[in-house]
Amino acid sequence: MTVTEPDARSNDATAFDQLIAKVRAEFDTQFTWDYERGRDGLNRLYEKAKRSQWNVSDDLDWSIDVDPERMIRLQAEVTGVPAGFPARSLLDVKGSPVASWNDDQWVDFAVNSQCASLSQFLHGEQGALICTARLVESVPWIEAKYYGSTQVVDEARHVEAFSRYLNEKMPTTYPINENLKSLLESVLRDERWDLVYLGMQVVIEGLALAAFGLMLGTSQEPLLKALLRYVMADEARHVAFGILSLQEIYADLPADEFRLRQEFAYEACDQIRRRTLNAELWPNYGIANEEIEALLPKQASQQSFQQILFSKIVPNCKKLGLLDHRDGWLRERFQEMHVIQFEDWENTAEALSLEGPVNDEAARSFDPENLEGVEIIETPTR
Amino acid sequence: MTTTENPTHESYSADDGSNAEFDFRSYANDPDRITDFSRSNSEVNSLISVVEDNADAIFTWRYDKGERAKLDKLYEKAKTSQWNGQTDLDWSIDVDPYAVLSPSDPNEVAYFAENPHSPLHKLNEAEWAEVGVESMNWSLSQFMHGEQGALLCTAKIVETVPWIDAKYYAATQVVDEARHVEVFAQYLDQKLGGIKYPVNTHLESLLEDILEDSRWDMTYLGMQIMVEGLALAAFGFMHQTTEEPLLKKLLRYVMSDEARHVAFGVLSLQEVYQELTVAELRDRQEFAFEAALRMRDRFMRQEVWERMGVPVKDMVKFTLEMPEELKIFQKLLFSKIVPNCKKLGLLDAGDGWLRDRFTDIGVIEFENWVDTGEEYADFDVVAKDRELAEG
Repeated sequence: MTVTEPDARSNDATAFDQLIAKVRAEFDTQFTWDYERGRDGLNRLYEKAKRSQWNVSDDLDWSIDVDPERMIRLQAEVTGVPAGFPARSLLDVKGSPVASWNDDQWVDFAVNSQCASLSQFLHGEQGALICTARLVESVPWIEAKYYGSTQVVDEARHVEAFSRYLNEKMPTTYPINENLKSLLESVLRDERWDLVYLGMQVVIEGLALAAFGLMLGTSQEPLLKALLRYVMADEARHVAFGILSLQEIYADLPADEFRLRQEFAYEACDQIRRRTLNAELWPNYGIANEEIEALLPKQASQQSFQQILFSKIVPNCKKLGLLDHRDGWLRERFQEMHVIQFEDWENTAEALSLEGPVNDEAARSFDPENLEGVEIIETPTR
Repeated sequence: MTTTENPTHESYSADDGSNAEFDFRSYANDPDRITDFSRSNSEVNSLISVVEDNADAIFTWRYDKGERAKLDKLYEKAKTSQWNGQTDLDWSIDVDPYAVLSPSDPNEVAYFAENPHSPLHKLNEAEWAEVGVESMNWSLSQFMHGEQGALLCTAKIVETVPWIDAKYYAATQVVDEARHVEVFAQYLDQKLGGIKYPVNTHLESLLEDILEDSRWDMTYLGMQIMVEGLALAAFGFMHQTTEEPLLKKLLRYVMSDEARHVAFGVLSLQEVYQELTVAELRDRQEFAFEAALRMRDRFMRQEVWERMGVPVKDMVKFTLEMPEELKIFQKLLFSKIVPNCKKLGLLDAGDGWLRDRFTDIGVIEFENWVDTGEEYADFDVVAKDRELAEG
C-alpha cells in the first residue's frame, strides 16, 4: 500500500478491523457437468445483459459540477416538498429538539440525508457484489452461472459509480447502517443457495430499485439522475433473475421448506422496516435516536414514506407464491406492515418482457434516457 | 474440510522414515502415483461436484479506487475489451472434426508409432485419425472444465480479497470466465459432436484444492498463476497449429482475456508476497510445485487411452520415458508459469526450493522468458479488432 494515512496494513489491528468486515461462511461450491443450456428465460436474460453493459468512466459526464446545497434547494423548489422531508414534516412539532430549526439547518440536514442514502446504496451494492459472486459459486445450473457472472460485473460497476459520486461530488460518506449490515450477514451466513437469491435478489435488490426510483423521481441533479437510470436498468434484470430462478426452485419445494422461505422474507422485510428514520444523522446534530423514536411512533414513519420501499418486494413475493402459501401467512404479515396494497403492481420479470423473445435491435441501441422495455419506478407524487 | 497451514510438507519424506533425501524426480515421474487417481472414472455420470468453501467473505470500507494503480489500469482495460461469444465469432462456419486437428510434431508421432514397446505401435491409419479426433475433443473438454473452475475461483476471489481495486478487476474476470465456458461448450456441442470427456482427475483434484483452501492468496496462486498460466501457453500452442478459422479466432479472443488474468495474479501476489515469511513462502512454493505436477500429469490424456482401449499405465510410463528433446509440447506448457513464479520471487525464496523442483521436472529453462505482468496489452486482439472496425 502506498497511502500515508493510517491504513489497513498498519500494525494497529483495530484500524484494520474497522476497514474490513469479515463474514464467516460455510457453503458448497458446486461444479455442474451439465453444460446444456435449457432454461430459455435465463438464456435471454444473459444475452440481454451482455448487450447492456456500460462504463462508469465513459458513459457518465463526470465534468458536471455538483453543489449539494443548491441541488437540495432546487429540488425543494421544483417538487414543492420542503428540504428535510419527511423528517421535517413529522418532527416539526412542539417539544421536538428540531422544532426551532430554520430552513438553512434543514437544507444542511437534507444534504447529509442524501449522503447517508447514497452511502447505504454504496454499501448495499458491495453486499450485492459479494452475494452474487457467492451465487455463481453455489448455484448448480450453468445458465444461472452465466447470467450471474454478468451481474457480478454489474454490481462492481455500481459500487464504482456510487463511490465515485460520493467521493467527487458530495461532502461526506457514512458507514454502513446496522440493519443493512445484519441483513447482509444473515444472507451470507446461510448455506442454502436459494436463500441467497431470496434475500439478495428479491428483498435487497427490490428495496434498492424502489429507493433508486424515489431518488430519481425527486432529484434535479443531471449526473445523479443519469447514474440512477443506468443503475436501475441493471437492477431490473437482477430482480428478474431472482424471480425466474426461484419460480423453478419453489415449484418443487416441500411445504415446510416453503414456510421457511416465507419467514425469511418476512424477517428480512421487518428488519428493513424497523430502522429509525435517518438514524445515522441525528447523533451528528446532538440528538439521540431515542428522542426521535419517542416523538415518532413507528406507525407514522412507516406510513409516511417507508411503505413505498416495499412496492417491488410485495408483487414479486406474490408472483413467487410466497404471499398466499399456508393460508396467506405472509399476506397477513404484509397487511400488518401496511404494504399489501402493492401486491398487484407490475412485477419485474414481466416488465422486462422475458416471456417473449428479446428484441435485439432495442437491446443493441440501449439508451438509458429511453428505457423502453425496462420498468421505471412510478414515483410518488406528493 | 479445514485447511491446515502446511498441507504438503509431510508427504515429502523418504519411504523408510529415514532422513534420506526425498527423491523428487522419482516422485514426479512415478506412473503409479499418476495413474492412482480413479475418481473421475468412477463418477463419470455425476452431474454435479461439490466442494466445501469455508473462506471468509470480506467487505472493505475503503473504497478509494486507484489506490493500486496497476490493478486499476487492468480494470479499465478489461471494461473496454469485453466481447460477446454469440456475436463476435462466426458460428456459421462448418467444421470437419478430422480437419480441425493440429499437425503433431512428427518426431513425437514417430516415438509413439514406430517403437515396438509403444502401446500405440499397432494402430492403423484410421485408428491414428481417431486418436487425433478424440484428443481434440478431450483437450477442448478439459479447457472447458478448467474454465468453469476459473469461473468459480474468480467468484471466490471477489468475495475474499480485501482490496476494492482487486474486487473490481476480479468482477470483470468472472464474466470473462463465463464467456469462455460458453464458447468452449458451444464449440464442442455444435462442431465436435458433443462433450465426450468428464473433467480429468488431476485437474479436478487441483481445482478442489484451490477452492478448499481458505487463504485467499492461494486461490490467486493456484488459479491465476498456475492454471491460467498453463492455459495461456496451451491455447497459444493450439492457436498456432490449428488452421480451423473459427477455433483459431475463438482461442485468440480467449487468450486476450487470459493474459489479463495472469497479469492480475502477478500484480496482486507481488504485493502479498513481499510481506510473507520464509516459512509462509515455502508453503506457496510447495503448493506451486504440486499444482505444476498435476497440470503436467493431466496432459497424459488418461481418459483418451481408456476410451480407446489402450492400457493407461503403459501409456503413462511410455510417455514419461520420452527422450527430453522430444518433450517440446510438455515443456512449453510451463513457459508462462516459470517466469511468473520467478517474478513473484517464488523460485529463489528460502533456499531456492522451487528452482530445484522445476529443475527436477525439466522446465527451469523458461525462467527468463517474458513474464505476463506487463505483456497483456500485446495480447489484446479484441481491442485491435475494435479499432480496425471503427476505422
